[in-house]
Amino acid sequence: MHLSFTVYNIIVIRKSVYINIEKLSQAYEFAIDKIGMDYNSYVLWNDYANLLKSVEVYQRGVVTPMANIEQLWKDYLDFERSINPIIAEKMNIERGRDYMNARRVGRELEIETRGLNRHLPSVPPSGLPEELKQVEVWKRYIFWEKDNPLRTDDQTLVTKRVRFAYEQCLLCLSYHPDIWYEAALYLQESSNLLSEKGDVSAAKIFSEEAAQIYERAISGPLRKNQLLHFAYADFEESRLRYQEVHKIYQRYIEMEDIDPTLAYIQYMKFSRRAEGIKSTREIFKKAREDSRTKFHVFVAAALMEYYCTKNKEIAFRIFELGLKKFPNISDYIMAYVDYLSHLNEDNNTRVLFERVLTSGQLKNEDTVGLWNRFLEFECNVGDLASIVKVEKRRAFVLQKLQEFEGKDTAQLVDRYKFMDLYPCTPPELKAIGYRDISTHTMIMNPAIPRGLSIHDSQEPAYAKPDFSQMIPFKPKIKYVPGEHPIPGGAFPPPPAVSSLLSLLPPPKCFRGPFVKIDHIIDIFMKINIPEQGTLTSNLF
Amino acid sequence: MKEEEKKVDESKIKQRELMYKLIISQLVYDGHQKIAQDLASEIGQEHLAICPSDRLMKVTSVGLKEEHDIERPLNKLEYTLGPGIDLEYETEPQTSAAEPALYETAYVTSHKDKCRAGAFSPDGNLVATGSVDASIKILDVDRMLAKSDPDAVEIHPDAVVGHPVIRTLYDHLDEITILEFHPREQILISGSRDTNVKLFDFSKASARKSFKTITDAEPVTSLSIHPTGDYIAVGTEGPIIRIYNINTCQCYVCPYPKEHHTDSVTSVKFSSDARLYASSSKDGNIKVWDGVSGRCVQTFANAHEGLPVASVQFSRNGKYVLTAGMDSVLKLWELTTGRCLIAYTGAGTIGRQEHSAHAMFNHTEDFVMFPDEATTSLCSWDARSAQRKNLLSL
Repeated sequence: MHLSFTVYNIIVIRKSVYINIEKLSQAYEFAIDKIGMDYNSYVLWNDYANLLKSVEVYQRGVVTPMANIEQLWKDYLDFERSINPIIAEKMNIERGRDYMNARRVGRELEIETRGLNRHLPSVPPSGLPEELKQVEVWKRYIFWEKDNPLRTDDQTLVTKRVRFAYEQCLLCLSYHPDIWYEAALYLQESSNLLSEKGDVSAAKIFSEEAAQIYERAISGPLRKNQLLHFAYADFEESRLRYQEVHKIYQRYIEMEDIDPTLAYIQYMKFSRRAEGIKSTREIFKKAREDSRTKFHVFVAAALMEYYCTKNKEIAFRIFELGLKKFPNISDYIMAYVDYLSHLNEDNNTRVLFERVLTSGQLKNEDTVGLWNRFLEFECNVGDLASIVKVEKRRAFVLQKLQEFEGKDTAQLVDRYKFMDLYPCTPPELKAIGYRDISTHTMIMNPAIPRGLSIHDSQEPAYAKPDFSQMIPFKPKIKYVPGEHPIPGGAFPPPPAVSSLLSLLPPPKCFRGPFVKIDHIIDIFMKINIPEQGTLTSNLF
Repeated sequence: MKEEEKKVDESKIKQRELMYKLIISQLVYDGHQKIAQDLASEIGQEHLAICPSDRLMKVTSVGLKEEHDIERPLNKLEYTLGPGIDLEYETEPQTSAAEPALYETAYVTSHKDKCRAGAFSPDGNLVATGSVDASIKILDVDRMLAKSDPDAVEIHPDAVVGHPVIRTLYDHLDEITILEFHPREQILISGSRDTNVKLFDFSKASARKSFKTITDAEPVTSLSIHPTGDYIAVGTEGPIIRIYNINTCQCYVCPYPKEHHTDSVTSVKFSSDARLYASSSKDGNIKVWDGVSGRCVQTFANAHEGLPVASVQFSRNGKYVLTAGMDSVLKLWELTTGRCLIAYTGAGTIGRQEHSAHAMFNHTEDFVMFPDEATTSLCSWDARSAQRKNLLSL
């Protein structure tokens, strides 16, 4: 909105300086192009229309949903009548429908955007309830615009309106990467749609605009956001602009205070897709020389070599190289071990285990996972003697950690278990004192927030009335004392009965057989119903 | 268990005695002999050998440092609106809000007859007013402010503002006595003298009629929505308070006849955590009920000299209840001890009032407000010190 204010200011300044109508109308056109769709743009349209007194301006204005559209419509009709009453009536009918449409949409727009605070400064997401509410309202507004409320067939207009909504949203929420991404994605999709329909030039424009949005996103407050960079790179890749992709990745990596590991990995993946394994190797070399990269690059590179070129040797060498650089990181070693076991090379795997576990580079706690894997490996592949040997060594290490003192049976359980099948029932496991310490299957990322803070959850558990402790009550105007323990009411019929009563016709409709109940009950009591039916015998 | 409880009680009593001893010693240390003597005789400890000591001073400074670190968990209402009055933790008045007398009228809208019910929506964007002429108006706060003072509001200066009254609802047949907004949905609940409770969905511009009606037998005088929005407590001219489940329209009451009021109910309110609700009645009693079982857990009998109690309101943290009675006195009751902590006097006529009026906290719970009959103005007091503030003429 401040954008519109600045633009308007420009116009006002220009007005005082230039009395040249052409320049002014250019200024107005510019303003309308930028913010003409805004709900509060009535003043702009009005001023422009008064300036030019042209039919076109009015016609464009009355089909745009805005606040005082009725006033504009009236002015327009007066204007037309002053020119030519007959044409005015014709215009009234023709444009009237579009005008009504715009008016309806304007009302809906007002409802959708109620509660939006457009003046909130952009801050990094804090998770506070007010912020969440604002985000929700913005998303709802954008979703409503995407739904084509004007019911127009002009896809370009719809796209423009949605883009306008996104722009407004980004003024307030520029630290939310999802908005940037959605905006760019939407433009991409519109461009695809338009090119399918055959409108190539508009498609190109929107495609460029999508790229622009990405550019703005990564040059703005979210400079360090990896998601947006990668999304941008993928977008350019889909447009086959490989040079651009290179530039994007390099830009990110050249930034000083970020961790480039993930970026390198994505970069390598891209180059494999686009240019083949050679360029991947070059990037890997660069990554190795970059002191900020972590061990993940090695794992990714090695696996990439293996999956693409099926070359075990190179992958092997990469892993060894990584091992030299990062001998003390258990996650890396786990990955290496996994790779070797996939290859089914028993000897190499065993050698690796021995090397790592005797090298003394890992702290004892970290080795626990490795020992578990080693045991598993031996159970799958080795003979009983080696299993027992490994177990003993493991027990020795664990003893040092004082976790399993005296719980030899617990360690035996580890020998026999498979995935989530255990050799004992859970109570027995508890009695033995077994605790599952194998955690290598998932490297838990502590940075991902788990759960919500108490104030984020929608409803804290409020105390609710427990109706079983209360008595049902139906307030009655004419209360008969004694009808209900609490004076003033009666017992309501149970819910099933009241719903049935609401379906039945009123009592006075019933004119049917009025049965003497006592008689019929007597008959029921006297009837002798046989155990089995006698119908079959009657039929044959 | 009883043994433990007894021990806990005894230790509490001992702590109190110790505290008083420390107070007396501190007073003597500071040179206030007479006061110390008077206090000692008040609490019945005159025989005690009083020695001057500064120990209270030291203990207080240590305690204050500790207290600063203790975190008080805030409930949802306190989190969104800020903490309210809490006499356990504050001893000095800390008013950051403007006193009520400084408020100015921003907008006036009129009904065809007296207007007695009003409510703000939970997000503060809408206001609903109900009148004796059986109509309800819903107004938009931003638009009202824009109309009154275009410079004050943060709207684009050239934006055209619509009319503040965004809905008018005509569905009742008699005076609207109470209005409440639903905590989450765009629903307004109204109670009226025509014995109906109606729910209006005001999200559509064409809303005129209610989409649900709960018919009671007696004129509805007050109602309160449960914080989840699924239940309402309704008070009528009959003495029994009803709890309705809005979705199923089923009605329940407390099963013990002796626990109910004996005359018509004037006001009923849920606390913000829904564990309690309070009610006031013409029979002069104030009752506090358990939100889960519906049973009456506390009664303040003859709260206002036996005269009818006009209104009851919980403080935000649920510890206090503010009541107004026909004796023109407002009282702040502490629920844990069941005592009246502060009485705000000086409003209106001394003795009986002609009409009943509601007492309320202001938005920060720093002030207590009550309409003054005699001068047709709004009286306000500082909530913690009971000091009278200026009148706001209405």
